[in-house]
Amino acid sequence: MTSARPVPTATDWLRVNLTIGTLSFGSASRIVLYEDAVVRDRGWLSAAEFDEVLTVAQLLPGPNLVNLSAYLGYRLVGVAGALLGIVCLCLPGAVLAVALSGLLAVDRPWVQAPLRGMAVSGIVLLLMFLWRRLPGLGSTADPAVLASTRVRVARGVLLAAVATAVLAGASLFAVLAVAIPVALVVEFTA
Amino acid sequence: MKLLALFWIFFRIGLVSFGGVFSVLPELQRALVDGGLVTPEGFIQAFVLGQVVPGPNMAMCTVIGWHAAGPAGAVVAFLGIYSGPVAMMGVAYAVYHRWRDVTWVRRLELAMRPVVLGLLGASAASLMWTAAGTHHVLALVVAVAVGVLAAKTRLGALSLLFVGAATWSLGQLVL
Repeated sequence: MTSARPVPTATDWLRVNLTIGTLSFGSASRIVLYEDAVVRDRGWLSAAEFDEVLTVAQLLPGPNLVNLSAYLGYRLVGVAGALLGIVCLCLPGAVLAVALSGLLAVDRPWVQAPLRGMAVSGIVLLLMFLWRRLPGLGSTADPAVLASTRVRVARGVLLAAVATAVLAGASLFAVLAVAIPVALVVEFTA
Repeated sequence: MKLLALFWIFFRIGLVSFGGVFSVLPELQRALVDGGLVTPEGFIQAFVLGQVVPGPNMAMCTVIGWHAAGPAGAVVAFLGIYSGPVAMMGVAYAVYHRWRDVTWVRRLELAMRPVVLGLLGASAASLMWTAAGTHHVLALVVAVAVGVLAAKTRLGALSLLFVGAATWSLGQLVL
């Protein structure tokens, strides 16, 4: 069923991480940069597989961005490649931060302006990315079957409720303590 | 042994750093500032730098390591803060990956999708508020420009980030 899909070498994967580690100014952009690199530009994973990786990476402990890179790397090129990928992702920013700490010009307007521009752009791209993920709420364990309308509506309401609660200032742990059981009830009573 | 103490601080804080540096900021401050490894000003500066540079915002830990104990301190901080979470997620992924074809594991992942999307949506919205600062009009202009380009052209995310940076810089000069 699956046609021949390009498989990355370890070098390909390290190059992707090095690029994102060097150029991903603005935290919101990073998920979208990985999607571009892995799904859109190179076709290493399908959009549905990326959905799955993202959900798992967001739920497990650790810094989100490192999680995403780690699990993508693990699936694409194995354990050693994933570890080296994490180093390639984290090292440029760490080196740059140390280098800049000698100068500390980050509060100047001409440094702040492009950074703000990148931050806002990254957020817009992230929101559009999330919008494109919405059809994934209709998925079931059998890829050929769509979830019932009741399940899709329930998932949509849950998404909106989680977002609203967090924006209204509820603590993350409180939101998760309510949302996770509700999500499980929705899924396993369907 | 200063390096060992430094490694231990970052390692144990790294273990509970769910979601990035924000969740452990108070703990870092207590261990590092109260422990006399960095001044309060140095801590704030490192935090700002960590937000500005590309990659995970944990980069601030490397800066603090550097200032506390030189290059060796930077290496120790880098390894300390990342090794715990990486080891934990390695185990978690291996377990998930082993079982991911089992139907109920697959359904767990599907069940969590709305929660994850809701959290990401909320963090995007609140980040937007912070990023825009007092420049509401400029933020709106850049957001619309990037949104339209993303929808109507084949420009990738990386190019669009630089378009956004250029637009904002120009706008700030003009307005």
